[in-house]
Amino acid sequence: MTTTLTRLRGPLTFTALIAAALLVLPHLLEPFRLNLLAQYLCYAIVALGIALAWGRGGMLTLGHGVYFGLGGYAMAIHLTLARTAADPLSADRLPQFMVWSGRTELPWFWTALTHPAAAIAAAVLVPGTVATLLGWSVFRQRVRGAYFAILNQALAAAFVILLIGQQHLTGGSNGLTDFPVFAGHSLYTPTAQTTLYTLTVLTLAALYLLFRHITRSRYGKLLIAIRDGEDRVRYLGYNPTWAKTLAYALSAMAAGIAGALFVPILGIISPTLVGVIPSIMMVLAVALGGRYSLTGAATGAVLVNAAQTTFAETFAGGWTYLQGALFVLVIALAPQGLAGLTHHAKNALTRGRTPTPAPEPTTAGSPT
Amino acid sequence: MSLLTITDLTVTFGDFTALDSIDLTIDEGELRFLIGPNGAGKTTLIDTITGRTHPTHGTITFNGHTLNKRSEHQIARTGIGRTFQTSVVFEELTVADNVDLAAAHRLPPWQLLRAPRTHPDHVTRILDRVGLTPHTHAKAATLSHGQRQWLEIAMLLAQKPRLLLLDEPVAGMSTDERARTGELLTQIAADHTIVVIEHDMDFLRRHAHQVTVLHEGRVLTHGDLTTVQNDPQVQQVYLGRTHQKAHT
Repeated sequence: MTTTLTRLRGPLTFTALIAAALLVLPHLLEPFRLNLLAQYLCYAIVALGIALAWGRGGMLTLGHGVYFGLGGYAMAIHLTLARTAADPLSADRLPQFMVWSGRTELPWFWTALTHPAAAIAAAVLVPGTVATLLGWSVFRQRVRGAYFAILNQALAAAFVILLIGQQHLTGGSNGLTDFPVFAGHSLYTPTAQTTLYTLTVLTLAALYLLFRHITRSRYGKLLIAIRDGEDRVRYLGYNPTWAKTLAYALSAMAAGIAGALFVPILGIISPTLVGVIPSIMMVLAVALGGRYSLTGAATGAVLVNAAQTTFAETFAGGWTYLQGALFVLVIALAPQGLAGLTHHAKNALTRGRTPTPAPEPTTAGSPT
Repeated sequence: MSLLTITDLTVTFGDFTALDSIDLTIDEGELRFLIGPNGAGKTTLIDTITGRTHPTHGTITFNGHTLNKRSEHQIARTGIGRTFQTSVVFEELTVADNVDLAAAHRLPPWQLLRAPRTHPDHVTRILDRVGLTPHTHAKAATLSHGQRQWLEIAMLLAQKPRLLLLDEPVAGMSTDERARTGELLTQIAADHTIVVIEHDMDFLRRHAHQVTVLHEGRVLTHGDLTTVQNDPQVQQVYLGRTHQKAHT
């Protein structure tokens, strides 16, 4: 009786959420909170990618911090160059830490990121390329499951060691910070922060639509088939290697984009933001929200990060325990996460036909 | 005209010889039954044809292609489809999506990225043929054992292979389901080349014409069912043994 209405409900909710996020929240929240929300939404972008690779493709990636970091560092290097270019005291555009470690000229991968467009392109393409090379070589050898997860984890650990070890190129454990301008615009104004927030919301929305389309396509079904029976898929004439590599690379690119947005929002990137622990946190948030659902994963990322801030503000030490307890509870009682719970609740309420899980997009969580 | 030619095929796992100089030819349009006691190498033979196991030596030629070094998906793409002893369907996908996915491997990659609203006609037709139309939109996980086997056959048909390899299609089925599968097999055999591994003697008597007997990795004999059944060697290694087993 209400087929048109049910069909329109998804798009309508989605549009309403975007509208609320863009038009209402910036007026409701003080700049500090809006900035925090923008950070959470960056993690929501990472979560979308993890939901695609892990939830659909069955690739447990415990190293997405690396791709987030590659995107973040690409942007941070560009922003550092933008600062030194405007600074009359800096010789040859070298940032201070390079001068202190005795370098006299910029490394090639710094100069390559001088142009803003180059930085944006690198934030997408470098993670994409790294993930493609890694994925293709690993999936071709039929490495999967825990081995793949451990490999990713090792990658995250190695990435941090590299960042800290190459202090004269990366700023070491201090990372890179102080980003006053991007493409000639000051980043230190309230308008700039609102613009960054808007940009993050739009990117999240666009990637959500893209990934949603992918999960509904035949390729999305192929990914599920590969997740549940990789060997069987081969006898249908598909090569799982390229299908998995594509999903993995797409999710890495999403993380790269999120990293590039995150850097001007937070104003710093350092190894502690991209290593093993943040990588696990990204997966944790997806597990809590529901890895089989894009909306669930994104919501999970927002909620977990919001909760982290709230608890860190009130009782700092307690959060770690609460987080651990939450994770245990979800794995034990609701392996499909929040999205699974809401889906079941909805079914219990309607008791009618149960189409494929398509929970309505509730992307923006309230950040207190 | 022979579609599949196997020459001097040997497969060893360490010291164990699973297949020992097998020679076998399957003609276009044939329905061939493959029987033999446990451990005779029937499944290994199918695994080797489909690329799951690689030959130690010998050659497998299918429709002019040498299959030896190819991987599973490449062999599937030359036109060989198979089912498994324990049926493997994609439980989280709907019945129609399972069949659609099997049919879609011929599509160019960018076509895979499209999200069709309705299923193509050939998917509907195949589901009708195997009698799964009422379950079109159900998740494959909800199917019974017999229905899963039919879904596997439906996927196989959707793949449009020139050679179908069925590994124990009626194992674990009820009498009704066996009869239904038998009908389906006869129907499909009219326009496909099929190799069936089957233990069930009753099913063999009903549907088998040409039978190849494997024993300890070798081809013991080959011929029509009556000849094979009356072969003293076969009675000794295979029928005799099951006969005894039935009485103990």
